[in-house]
Amino acid sequence: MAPAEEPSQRGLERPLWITLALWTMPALVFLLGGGLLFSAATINDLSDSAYDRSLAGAIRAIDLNVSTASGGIGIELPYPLFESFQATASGEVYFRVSTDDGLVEIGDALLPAPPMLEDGEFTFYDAVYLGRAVRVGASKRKLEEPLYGASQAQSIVIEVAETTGSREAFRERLISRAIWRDALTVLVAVGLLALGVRLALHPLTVLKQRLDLRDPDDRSRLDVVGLPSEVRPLVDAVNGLIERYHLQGEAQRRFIDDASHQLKTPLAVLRSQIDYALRADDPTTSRAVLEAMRPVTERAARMTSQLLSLARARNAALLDTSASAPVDLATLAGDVARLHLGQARRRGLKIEIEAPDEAVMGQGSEALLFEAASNLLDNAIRVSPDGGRILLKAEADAPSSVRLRVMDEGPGMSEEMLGQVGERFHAGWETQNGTQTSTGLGLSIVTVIMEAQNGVLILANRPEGGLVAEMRLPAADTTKPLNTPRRR
Amino acid sequence: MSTITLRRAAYAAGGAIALTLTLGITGAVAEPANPECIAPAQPGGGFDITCKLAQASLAQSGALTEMMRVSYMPGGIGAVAFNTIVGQRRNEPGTIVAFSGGSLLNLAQGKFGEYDADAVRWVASTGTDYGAAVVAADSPWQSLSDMMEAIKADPTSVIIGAGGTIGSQDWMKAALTAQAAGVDHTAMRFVAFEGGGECATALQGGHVNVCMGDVGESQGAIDGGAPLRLLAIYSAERLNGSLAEVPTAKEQGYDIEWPIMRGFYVGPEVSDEDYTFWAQAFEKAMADPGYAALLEERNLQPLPLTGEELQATVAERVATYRELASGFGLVQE
Repeated sequence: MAPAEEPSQRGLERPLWITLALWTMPALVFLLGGGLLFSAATINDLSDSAYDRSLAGAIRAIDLNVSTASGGIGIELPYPLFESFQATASGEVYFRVSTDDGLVEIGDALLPAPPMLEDGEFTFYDAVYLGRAVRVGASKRKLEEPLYGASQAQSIVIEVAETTGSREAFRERLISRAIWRDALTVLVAVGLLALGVRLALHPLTVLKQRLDLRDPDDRSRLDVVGLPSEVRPLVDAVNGLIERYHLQGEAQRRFIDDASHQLKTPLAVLRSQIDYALRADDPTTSRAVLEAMRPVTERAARMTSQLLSLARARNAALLDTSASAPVDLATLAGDVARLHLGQARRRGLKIEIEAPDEAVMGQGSEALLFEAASNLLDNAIRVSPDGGRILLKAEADAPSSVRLRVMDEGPGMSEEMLGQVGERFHAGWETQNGTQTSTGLGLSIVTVIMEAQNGVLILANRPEGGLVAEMRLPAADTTKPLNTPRRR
Repeated sequence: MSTITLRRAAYAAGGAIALTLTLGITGAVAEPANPECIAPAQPGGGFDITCKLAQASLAQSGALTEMMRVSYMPGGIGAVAFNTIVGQRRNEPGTIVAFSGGSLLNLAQGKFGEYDADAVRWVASTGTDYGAAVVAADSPWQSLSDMMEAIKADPTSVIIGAGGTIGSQDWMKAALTAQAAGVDHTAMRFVAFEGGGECATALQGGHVNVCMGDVGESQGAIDGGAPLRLLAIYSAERLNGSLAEVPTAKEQGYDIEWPIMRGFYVGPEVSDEDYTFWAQAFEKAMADPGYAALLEERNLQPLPLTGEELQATVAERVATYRELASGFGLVQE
């Protein structure tokens, strides 16, 4: 893989705040731009209505000074009015007063003609006068009575125009202010984004420092307090990883402990026997020693193989969780019994299997469960008196759990030993049970396997004598179709 | 071309004095009650001067025993008053209305409504005025050319004030001057007033840069102390008295003359007797030895026409004006 050439990969290498900015800023700019267009239209409307109102005021003031008392139409020149008007509008003001019959026309004669007006109507429009943009207000009203003998009252039209300079300047000022405000908003948003991301990711920096300074043997979980909820899964995953590594390391350490401890004794025995044999002059004695060495060697070999399977079981517990599947304990019992049939027959033992007609489905790794059951049966065979009877019983003992029990007629176990089961390897077993019987590793293996399968190993003495070893497992999810291939 | 026609018209009017005098012999008629002179504008303009001249001369000569009242009826430089007389006050023997050459020009363009010159009875012409370009005393312009240069540089920077709107005689004077200077007269910035009096007021207020007015009203304002100055007079020769200092437009290179007849008309249904009374009254007033002084006071030149003779002159002038207005595309057909 060449990550540098993958665009998606490259994108991921960008600082988080830039990625966020690239996602959010165009939308923000778009929204603000839209808002700006909208507010520009609003500003135009507002300024128009504000300025139009002053035009309307000027028109009314001129209208108040139109006199018809003489029978003619007297119009007082509005220049004094315009002087104050122009001072506020800071532009030029034009006017025209005319009658609709065309006889009277006063003021700026070249102002563009107004649109058709109804009597009493006010209107405002943009026009060009003397090459300059002007806003014109126009109104028309009927005179109270007809003048100069006309059949109906004339209408008087008053127009006031002002250059739009100050209005435009007002608008531009407002709009440019809005633009600056929005640009500042975007900049501040980017800044806040960068700052926010930096602050939000600060706990990660602290975490990184903690990880850097961490003792390699420190097995404690990383503290998620103060971390953003988004990164907690990550930290949890790291914690899980730490735990698994730790467990694996522990398992390996244990294995080495177990192995060295277990192998030390037979090797010491063998060495002393060899020493003894070398010192003996008598071949008969040497032979006797060699014969005595044979079971010790066999035991050491078996123990080595058990140690390996223990290590395997422990590793599997850590690493091979995916092998979990529904397992029929009845079938498993049969298979295990078959494997040990020869061994049992040599001792004259009888192995019985008791199982219901239907399958007894437990959840776990079939290979490991087989190993565990095999160990239990092996133990039972070892402790059983010759001609004894061993019972393998598979059953569902509760809706959610199943069990496989191995019952023998051996001596059982002392309370002390029962209490120690599951606490890893027990060195004491060897001396107690003698070299012929058990390495003591078998139950450790089973315990480890059962733990890995979310199950449990329960040992108890039978009231009628002998030991019952119970592998209890969670029942397989019965909602799942049981079509997984069964091991035959 | 139009200027020549106008000048000829003025001479023709001037040469008809003798004919007028013969009419003055007819017998006396009873004086109408409540004599009134309507100045169809705001006070202070040419119409006001015309009415005041009638008031003074009729009283001075004893042609009218009752004191004549001057009233003002602004609106459309005479248009409203003309329509009032023709429409409402057709038969008021005591009412005379002042008119000017400008009124005839408007009449020629149809600006007085649907009526033509025959709609009223023209009584008398009492004098002639001349067009004048008037500026504020502190104006930077010393000549018509200065003004035209300013218009050429930026047409919108020069506000030309005038009694009457586009097509009025004041506008016409400005347009003719602009034409002569090679300036597009349609680019001029033009503000209309209800007569020359108002324009003079606006000029003093600085709202306009120049008024295309008349000698009479402008010099009257100057004599009254208004800080104004005549830039040019649109007469053939320099006028007398204090006006002799003002150069004519012609001298300044603009071959334009603009005489303005000033006189009176009465309503169409005023009886022949009353019409004759007014004609004779004015003949008597104008024949009075003191009349010349009254004219000079108002900066007017004599143009004594009455009765039939005036009717003919008015008809002739209207025709001439119509021709002129057609040249500017102003006549409403």
